[in-house]
Amino acid sequence: MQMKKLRLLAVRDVKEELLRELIRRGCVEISELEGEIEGTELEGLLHRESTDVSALRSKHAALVHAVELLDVYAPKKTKLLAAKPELEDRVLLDDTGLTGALKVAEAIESSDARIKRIAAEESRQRSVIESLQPWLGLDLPLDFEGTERCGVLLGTMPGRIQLADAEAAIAQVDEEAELFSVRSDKKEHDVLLVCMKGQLPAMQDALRPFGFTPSPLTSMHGTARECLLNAEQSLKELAAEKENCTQYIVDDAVHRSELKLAADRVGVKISLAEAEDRLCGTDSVVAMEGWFPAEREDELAEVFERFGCAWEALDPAEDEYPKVPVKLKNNKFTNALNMVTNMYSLPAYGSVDPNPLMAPFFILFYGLMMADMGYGVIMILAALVAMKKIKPREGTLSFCQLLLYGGISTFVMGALTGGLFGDAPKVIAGMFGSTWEGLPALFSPVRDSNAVLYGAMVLGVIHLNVGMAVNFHEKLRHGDKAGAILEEGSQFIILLGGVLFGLQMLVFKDAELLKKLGLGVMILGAAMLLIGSTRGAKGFGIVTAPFSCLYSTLTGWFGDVLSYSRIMALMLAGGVVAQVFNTIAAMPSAKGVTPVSGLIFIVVFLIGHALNFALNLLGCFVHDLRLQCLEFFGKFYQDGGKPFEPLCIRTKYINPQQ
Amino acid sequence: MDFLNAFGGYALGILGAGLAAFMAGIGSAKGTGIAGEAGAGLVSEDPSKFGKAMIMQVIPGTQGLYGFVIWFLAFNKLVPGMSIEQGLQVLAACLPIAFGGLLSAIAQGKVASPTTGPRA
Repeated sequence: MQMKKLRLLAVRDVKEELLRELIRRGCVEISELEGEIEGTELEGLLHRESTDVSALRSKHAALVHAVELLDVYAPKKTKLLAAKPELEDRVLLDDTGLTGALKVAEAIESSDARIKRIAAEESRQRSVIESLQPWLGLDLPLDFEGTERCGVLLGTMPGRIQLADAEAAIAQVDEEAELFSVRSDKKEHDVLLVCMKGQLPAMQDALRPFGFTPSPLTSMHGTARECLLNAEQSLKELAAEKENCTQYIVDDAVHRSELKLAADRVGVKISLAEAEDRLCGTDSVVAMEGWFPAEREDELAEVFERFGCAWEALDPAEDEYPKVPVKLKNNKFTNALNMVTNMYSLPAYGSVDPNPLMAPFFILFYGLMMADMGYGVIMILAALVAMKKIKPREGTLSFCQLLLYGGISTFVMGALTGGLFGDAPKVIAGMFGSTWEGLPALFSPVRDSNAVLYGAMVLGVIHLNVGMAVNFHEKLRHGDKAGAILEEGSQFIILLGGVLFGLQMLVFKDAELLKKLGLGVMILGAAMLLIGSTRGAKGFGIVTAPFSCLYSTLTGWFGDVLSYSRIMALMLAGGVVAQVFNTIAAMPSAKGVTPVSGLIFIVVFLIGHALNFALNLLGCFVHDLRLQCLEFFGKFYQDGGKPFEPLCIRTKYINPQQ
Repeated sequence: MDFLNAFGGYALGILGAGLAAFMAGIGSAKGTGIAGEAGAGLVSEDPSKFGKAMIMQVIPGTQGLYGFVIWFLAFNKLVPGMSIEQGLQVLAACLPIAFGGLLSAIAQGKVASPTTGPRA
């Protein structure tokens, strides 16, 4: 689509109103002011606008996070295919109620933080309870340090130690000391050491070889049982508090739609602020540069006049083309292919819009590869339901459209090849003892595989020639007549010669003249091609260029045309897999249909076709994409366009309405 | 020997058809795997390259389809009781795509880096 460059001066007072008007129209991309100011006397006068975008971004993040938290704590049942609610765009530009929403978001977030802290504390208490278990039998307080003379120490030793050995070891230090076992199991001994206070260090040294480690629980007050009760009590309190915090969040769920609206409003404010940051201005005037589609000029002129702006709209010069953002002009039919072009790469500004050229081929090839009435109907229904329920926009819309057109094409090709869930009608009839041959087919990939293979390649030749014709036209448009005639034209002539030659071989077998004519035309074309290849070659290159050109043209065409055999291969593969599933499903019914065998048929049929459908849906898309993007685009496409990103209302939860 | 004469040709033909689909299929699986890994790396850095990375990944998938086409064409030529020579002919016709497909798909997968690459 043709773009125009906008240069505009506005009075500072109207800046915000103007930006709001532009964001509603959504058709101006505001770019950085080009480096014309630097180094001129203007530099001192102009200064960049600066807004607090990062503060807005953090507000936006907080609101979105709050909505996500609400979805976790208070999930709302939504319909599987629900459209976003719609609101007038004026409402989105308004910012009332923002502070309130931010407060709610803050409250939700702090409740969530509290819940996380509680969870951490809970797991700490649980581990305390765990570590207290061995000592429950001990009725001494855990922090008991002994009497005036007598020292006590709690500790553990590995279970493989014989307690008697340890007792013998301490007896060597002092006969009076004693080791009481509180609890013993295979893993460890939990023991209480009682001895003279002054001998405690010596006792520990004596026990060290037995792997004795003092227990860390001595920091706790009271007996193990008391500590356990305390811990259980605090667990209960924590659970109650957690319940409360969760309840706070759940109570806030009534604000969900306000939060969503506020998040989208802040999102709009971010877009506005980002646009504003790109402006430059003096104290009283702001300057703006940008791009807009030429067809919106009248509409924008009216807006700019209303705001009293000084402005001009320029056609981009050829050397500016790499900077011009690209917007594809689409009608309902070609819009479907936007998804493909965007996925690959946009065309460079001023080059050909591939969508209208690609659309018929893409849809035809898709249908040929899928070729099944059943699958086609499913695709059509899925696309129609999605379009009605979700009310998709932009990318999702073009995906749905592509699904719809692909479905129609798949249905038509299915009708031509007699495919309805593979050969389901024939198999089902066979289950009931009929010898019916199945649906009639004009051609079938299984029966006429060679014809389908050649047909696929012929389609490929047509497809590639369309691509070349586009390039031919483009070269003429840019005044490169010699290039167009010698490079593309010569190949057309060779092809024409080939067709004449082929006609003689296959149809008019006694027309010798036709054969000679065909050969002559082919040689003429080849000569032109070789002459063309020497253009621009220097020195010895003039001798080698024709050979390399001949080689690359021949192998290129051979490879490209052969590549279209995938149309036949995918058509065949999808059909055969479907047939295999039908055959397996019908096997139990070979000796007549019983309720059980009927049920097995239905189950295997559904699973098998779901699998085959999903695989083919993706496989056909990918291979169709490849034929377009490699083979077809290879003939003419110039990619590398920069997408047009106008200042417009972008939302996460709400669809804006004008 | 009688058994070989009676079934040898048929068996050789089946072997050839099988090899075409099987080896070219392995090559494609391996090739798309290699290109896919490279593509996944690129896409995680720059998600806008998804489309190009995907097309680059599909390129080595072609050999598998060629193998499948040859399998089908060869299978149509098979008749029970065909002579050993006929069987060998089918086998020989299948071997180029079997080995070529296996090796070229893997090599192509390695070369099909997500930004620049050959096409087949």
